[in-house]
Amino acid sequence: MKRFLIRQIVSFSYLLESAPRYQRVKRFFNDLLNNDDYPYKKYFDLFMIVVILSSVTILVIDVHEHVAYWLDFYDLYIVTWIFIVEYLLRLWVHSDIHKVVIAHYEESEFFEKPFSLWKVIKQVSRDKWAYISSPAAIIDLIAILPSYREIRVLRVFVLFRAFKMLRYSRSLLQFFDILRSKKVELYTLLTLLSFFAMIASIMIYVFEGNSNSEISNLFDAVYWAVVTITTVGYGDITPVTTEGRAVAMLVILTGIGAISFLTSIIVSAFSEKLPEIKQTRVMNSIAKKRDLNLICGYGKIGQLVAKKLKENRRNFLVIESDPAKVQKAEMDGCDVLMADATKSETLLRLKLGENVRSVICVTHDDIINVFITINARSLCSDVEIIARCSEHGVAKKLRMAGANHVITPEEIAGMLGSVYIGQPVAFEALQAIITQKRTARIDEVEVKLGSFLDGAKVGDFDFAANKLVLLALLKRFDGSDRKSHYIVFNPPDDTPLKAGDILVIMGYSVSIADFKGRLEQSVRYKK
Amino acid sequence: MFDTKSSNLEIVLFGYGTTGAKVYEMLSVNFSKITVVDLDESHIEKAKEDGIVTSYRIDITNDSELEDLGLDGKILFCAMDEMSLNIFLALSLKSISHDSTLLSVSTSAENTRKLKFIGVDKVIDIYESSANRIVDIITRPAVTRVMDEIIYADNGISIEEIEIPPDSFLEGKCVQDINFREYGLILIGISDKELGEDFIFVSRGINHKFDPGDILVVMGETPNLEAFYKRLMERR
Repeated sequence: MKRFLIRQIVSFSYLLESAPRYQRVKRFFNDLLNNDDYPYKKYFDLFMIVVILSSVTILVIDVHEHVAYWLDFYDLYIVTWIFIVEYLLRLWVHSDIHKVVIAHYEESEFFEKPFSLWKVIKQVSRDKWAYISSPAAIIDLIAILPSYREIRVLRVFVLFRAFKMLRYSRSLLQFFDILRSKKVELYTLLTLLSFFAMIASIMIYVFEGNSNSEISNLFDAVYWAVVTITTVGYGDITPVTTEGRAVAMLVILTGIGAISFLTSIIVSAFSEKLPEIKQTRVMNSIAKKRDLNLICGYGKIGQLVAKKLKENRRNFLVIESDPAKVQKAEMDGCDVLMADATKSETLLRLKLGENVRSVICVTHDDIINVFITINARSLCSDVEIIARCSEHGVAKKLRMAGANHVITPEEIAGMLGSVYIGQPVAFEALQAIITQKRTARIDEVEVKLGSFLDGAKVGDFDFAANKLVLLALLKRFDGSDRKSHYIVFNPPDDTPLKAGDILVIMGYSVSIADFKGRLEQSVRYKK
Repeated sequence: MFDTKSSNLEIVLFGYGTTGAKVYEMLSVNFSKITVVDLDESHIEKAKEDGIVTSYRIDITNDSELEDLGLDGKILFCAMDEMSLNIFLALSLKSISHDSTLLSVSTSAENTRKLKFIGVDKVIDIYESSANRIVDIITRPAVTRVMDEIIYADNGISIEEIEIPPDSFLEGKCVQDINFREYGLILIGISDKELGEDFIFVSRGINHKFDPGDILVVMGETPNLEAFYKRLMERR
């Protein structure tokens, strides 16, 4: 009988493990309940907050007035059931029972030992207990209790429904995280305060228990001590004897010290956690951005690149490990992450494969740039990597490590100097159009699918009449990916144009904007 | 380069440290008459090792030693690693040389401003130009590729500036009278002496009249450029 049962359990576990539908459903609920990145979680959170608020409102109104029957019904059954289902779902997704069964079964097969059902149960209950005993789960459980109306005291637990909201609000959770970081200090202070309050209450009870009509029992004394030590001092109970007043004075002084101590603990906790809060804010703000450019290193080049990218309205994030430079970047108004870009964890956190368009390695150290390049390339094969270096040997290594572009500042300076010496007029002209200082500039225009250029020939459009000069055409290799093109300079009139080709044109901003606009419009009309 | 001008240019390169050595490497592709000068004995030793015969160690803070180099009419390129030395050098060179073109590298906007104030003809900010390049790669990849091919890559496509000689076939004609595409060329713009040094881009659409002395900036393949140059040099 027992062996039959075990066999059933094991085979059922394997069935679950191999059932894609079960896995999918479980993953869906896990995402919905626990995954902050899951887009639908916020709707679920909002729904729960509304349910909680409605329940709390009903219970509060119910104190003085009688609520409608259907509202009572809603509160008693529907809300409670939602809570129970949520609680059970959380318990369910917390860990996988069938995986434990399989692990134990395979282990016992391997060592040829008998399969122990007892061990499995122990392991499973330990896993689940870890969830049940967590503070959030306890609050969830207590929040279900108020529906049991027969016990009046339980109605107090209605407040726990409000506490439940904490789970759905990230900023509130952060506050508790901060307090948790000062757990030891807070515990010490609390112990100290309760110790003083206890001594004070016993003393006042001893001195005035008989002579003061307000203090009739020990609870009154404790109440007086707590009210006084927290510097609240209602004044409903006041000491009447000299001894009592002396105790009061001591308690007040202790109280002021303790309260200021408490304030300073909380304030320092906040200031310590401030960078972390900032980082979280930065991460949240860039999480939604696509086409992110990562600038690794905020040195001279990094600063200039950041400034220019901002002018071009591109999304970028500075990654820097030097606190002084991080501060500089913050002052300059950049999104900055204080992290080490040579660690794969950093790049993975930024979702390298999905959101990142390019990685720009411009730290002052060649070796670090090589590390970042290797790190990024090993994690993602199609991200664009631009790396700076100052040595020839390193340039080669960077290319081997997977950098698409290698920048050597000194070499560029030499190149520019060489071009300038040979052809000063051409150089100035090119400088002007490249740096876009004047209104003439060079720009690129992609031939969009279905636009009037798609399928046409170069000669079909009179560039000269539109005050544009077609410098070159980047034609797509047939059947290859989007990125690789070959260049045709000064293309003859009979060159065919296809969607995906890129025109490099020179002209004044107005003419280029006009041309782009017309191209866009023709797409819309053809549709 | 068919302008015999560029191959005859004499360049004096000041500094052969990390920056200077790289600059020399780039310059030596196009120019042959380069003199290297440095304050540091070890740098000059390295230059000699690299096969630069015309490399000398002189005290660049000493004006008379600088004058002995014979600076007039040459291209002077300041590429010292230390910026303060570079600025001082640029100032000395400006004061003692005549009819020479002065170039200097710079490492910050502040130094660029100082160098320009001194009167350096061309200041190249090494970090700024690197940053520009990085941003161009990101924002305008196709343009960057095309410009690279034109300016740096050795594939027969180049941009050249050609001065219109007297009595050429262009004289008296306007921009729109000449179809440069027939020659396989693209006219980028014209620098007109009459209108000062201002550069006119063709894309502005002004029908400019060609005069001798105007400088045309044209882009195209080398054979086409050569053919056009020959045609231009023929007297009417």
